Amino acid sequence: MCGPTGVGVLWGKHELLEKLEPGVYGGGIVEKVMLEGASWRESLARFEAGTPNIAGAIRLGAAVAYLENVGVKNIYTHTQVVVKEALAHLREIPGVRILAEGDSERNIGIVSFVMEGIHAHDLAEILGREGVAIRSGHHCAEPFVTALGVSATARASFYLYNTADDIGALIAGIKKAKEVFKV
Amino acid sequence: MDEELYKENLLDHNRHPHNKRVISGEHHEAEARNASCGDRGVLMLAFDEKGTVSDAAFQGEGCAVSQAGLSMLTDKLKGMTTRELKLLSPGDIYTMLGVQISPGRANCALLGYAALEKILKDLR
Repeated sequence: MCGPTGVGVLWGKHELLEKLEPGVYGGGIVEKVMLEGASWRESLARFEAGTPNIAGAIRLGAAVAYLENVGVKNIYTHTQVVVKEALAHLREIPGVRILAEGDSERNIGIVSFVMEGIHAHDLAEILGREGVAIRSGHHCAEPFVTALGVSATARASFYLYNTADDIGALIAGIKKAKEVFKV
Repeated sequence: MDEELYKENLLDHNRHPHNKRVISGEHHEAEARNASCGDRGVLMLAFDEKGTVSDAAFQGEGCAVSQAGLSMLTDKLKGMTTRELKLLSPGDIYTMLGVQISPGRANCALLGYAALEKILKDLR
């Protein structure tokens, strides 16, 4: 969302949040405290114990305003173009197997793949030195990566700031990795 | 690209790992994992009656640094005494690899060493 770290949004239905107990205790969450127990304030307040991340919330608000100004629809349309081009170029590289959604209209900007003969970490390392930041590994979803039958995947993510030049750099970096690993 | 990490020796061990097999006889083994990246290695060591490493092997999958590291480590450990194994330090592993290891790749480089430490703990 182009926002700061340490802040996020949890979306939940009011009547369901009302049924949840607070996970963390602290100032501002209680309605009444007795020696035998306590009752909690209304649903949202009870989950925000202590001093909230005020600066973070203000910055997140600025990020939301920025994205609304650019237009979520515009971001989606732009990402579609970039993903379509990235998928097309990646498919031309021998040894690349794309694991991401191949239909670019249904892909929201995440292109995960594996490269035959080069482990995802090694690919990420070489790309990183070429100035291309991708993620590699389990992506916090080890059971899913295991189910795909691979030990790790490489993942390139595209967003409103990515251009055709970035795809060019990605493809050139993968070719460089292939030279280093002689595959 | 100035290739400091993926030197030919390391790539060769990655492509053609030494001692990547299973020791069928009596042996000690331990597994090490890098949970965040999925690298995995099982180190197997057989000892003779004097406590010297008579055979070393490994199984595993992961990046070139972790797998070449395991391959080189098994070569290095053969013939070493238990006392010598205990004296090994991470610095020895970096020297063995012979390449520049950045902090971000330290866990990959030391995957075999982590398994070795587990084996040494069991031996006590």
